[in-house]
Amino acid sequence: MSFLLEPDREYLTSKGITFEELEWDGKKAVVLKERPLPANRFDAKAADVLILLPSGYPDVGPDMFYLLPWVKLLQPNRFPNAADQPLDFGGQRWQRWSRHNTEWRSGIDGMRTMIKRVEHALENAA
Amino acid sequence: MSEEHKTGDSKKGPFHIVVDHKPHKWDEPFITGLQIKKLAGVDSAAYDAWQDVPGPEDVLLADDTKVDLRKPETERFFTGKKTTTEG
Repeated sequence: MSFLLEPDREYLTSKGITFEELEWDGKKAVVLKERPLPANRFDAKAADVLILLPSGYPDVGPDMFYLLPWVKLLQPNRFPNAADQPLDFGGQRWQRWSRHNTEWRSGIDGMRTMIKRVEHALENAA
Repeated sequence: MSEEHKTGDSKKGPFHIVVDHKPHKWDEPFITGLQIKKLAGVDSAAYDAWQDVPGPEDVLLADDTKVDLRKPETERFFTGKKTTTEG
């Protein structure tokens, strides 16, 4: 099963990002496997990143992202802001990072810009 | 025949670049992050620009960073708004 379009697949492959396309309970998603987390910020060095794809993707952008394992900040020892709620998907309980940006450019934005949002949110977690 | 010539590893203009999946022709040997954003038509204060280079990391381009287009594999760029709101 593959529902990502070629530009997304080409980008992920060219960056050496291992990914899995999933469909669960009628919802499509991409899991970016073992993504490195910012050094010395969290109680894990890497995590899988779940991105739910809305039905209109890539004309419509994803909202939020989810991590597994759940991660906490090292200092202070707690979950980051707005990242302490679960999402059950694919038989697993993911850590929801409630991060929003409704600006999305159809035909331009895709996995590469969504990944930049994820990375920026992780780098600036407080 | 392509207008873009190669001499050894160094290319000569005009340079054919791709910004946000769209082709552009650029006459100068250098292009800055700010010029990339202008070609993309994005708000330069709100958006970032990256160079898509071989390897795991894209290169984040500051507004005044100059990319030498004469070098190989320098022609692919993209912009994006990376900020999100919590809650």
